Amino acid sequence: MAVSTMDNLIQYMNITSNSFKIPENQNLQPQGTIARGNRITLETTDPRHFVSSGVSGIQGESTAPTFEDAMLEALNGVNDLQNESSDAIETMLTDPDSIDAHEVTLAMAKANLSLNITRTILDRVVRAWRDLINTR
Amino acid sequence: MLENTRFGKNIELLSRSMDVAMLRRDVIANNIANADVPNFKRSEINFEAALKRALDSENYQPKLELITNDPRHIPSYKKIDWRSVQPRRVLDYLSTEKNNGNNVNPEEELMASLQNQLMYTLMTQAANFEFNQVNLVLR
Amino acid sequence: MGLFSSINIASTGLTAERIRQDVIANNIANVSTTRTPEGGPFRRSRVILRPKVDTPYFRLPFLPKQWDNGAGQGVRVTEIQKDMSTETRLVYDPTHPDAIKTGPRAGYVEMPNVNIVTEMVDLIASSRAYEANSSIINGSKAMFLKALEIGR
Repeated sequence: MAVSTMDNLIQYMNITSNSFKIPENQNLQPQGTIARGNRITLETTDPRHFVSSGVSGIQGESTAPTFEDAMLEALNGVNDLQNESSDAIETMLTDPDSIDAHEVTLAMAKANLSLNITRTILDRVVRAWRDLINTR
Repeated sequence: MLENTRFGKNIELLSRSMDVAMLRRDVIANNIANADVPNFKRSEINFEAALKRALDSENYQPKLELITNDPRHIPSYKKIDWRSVQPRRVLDYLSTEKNNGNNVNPEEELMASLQNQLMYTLMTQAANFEFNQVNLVLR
Repeated sequence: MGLFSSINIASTGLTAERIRQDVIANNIANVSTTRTPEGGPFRRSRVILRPKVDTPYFRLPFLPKQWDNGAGQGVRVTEIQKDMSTETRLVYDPTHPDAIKTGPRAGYVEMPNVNIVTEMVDLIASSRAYEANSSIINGSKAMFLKALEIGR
């Protein structure tokens, strides 16, 4: 009896919550849990769902960054800096009263430095890989 | 081969602006030389505002787009090609400086020539930077 | 803010000081002029200077952004005004063609109200201001060229 009223209550909560819809085939009973009296184990299908024990029941995917991710992020950063320096040069040519000289030269220096560092890192990594491959 | 890239556009913009800087130097020198001639009116060069308008028109999204399916229809907005912007020399006949009809202010002209010179230096530095960036990744 | 805003402001100062020097030179040159086209002796001129941006300067401690004047745009000369308030000098010389003919001051010649000492002091002040403005421009140019060395 208590289970069925809890069932209805959960169903009611699910229907009235406006953050997500219920798929038709979902079993409304929380998986692997039993609601007893005033203890309700809440269903957690997302790492952000709150569990009273304080620890999320479901872990997200492993987010350890790979070298590829780091390299792509760095290249995006380099591209952004290059675009910034191009914007600064364009502003200097069309609207000299709105920009300072050091802004332009600083943007150019930052772009130069970031491209230099990225290229050096890539060269070293490729060289290291080649050394490893050619180890006799 | 690099015309459609940011690099090509920057180099083209810089080279045109440096041409305008040389033209401006001539006009300012003319103004300074004629600083004592009665009834002489100074001239100046207008280029930056027109270039800014042309460059801004590339990114502009009009709030009301009119549908044109015939070349004779008038569009609500037309993109201006920045390559077509030319410097224009205008005569400043509205200001007054001296009683003899001459409107050259020597300090202002000297400051304008100093600014022109510094701007030219900054532009050469920007052009150097552009080429250095490309050379950096070549070996 | 801008690439050359301080240079523009200093150049307005240079213009104003140059105009002041011209006016002072004119005053000194006309120190003994007793006859002018508009009648009477020569009256010394003085230069009225105003800031270039004419919006009022509010005294509120918390000023909204739109009313803030910013760093300013420099100075401009609004008027070159004849100084009518100082008295002209009177020199007794009945033989002078411009002497006053009748009245209680008969025989006196009205000389301009130009005091050479005051004018010289003003000239020194004006030339110091000109040098100060010019050193601002040199400083700005040095800063600009230093900024160019950032990426070199």
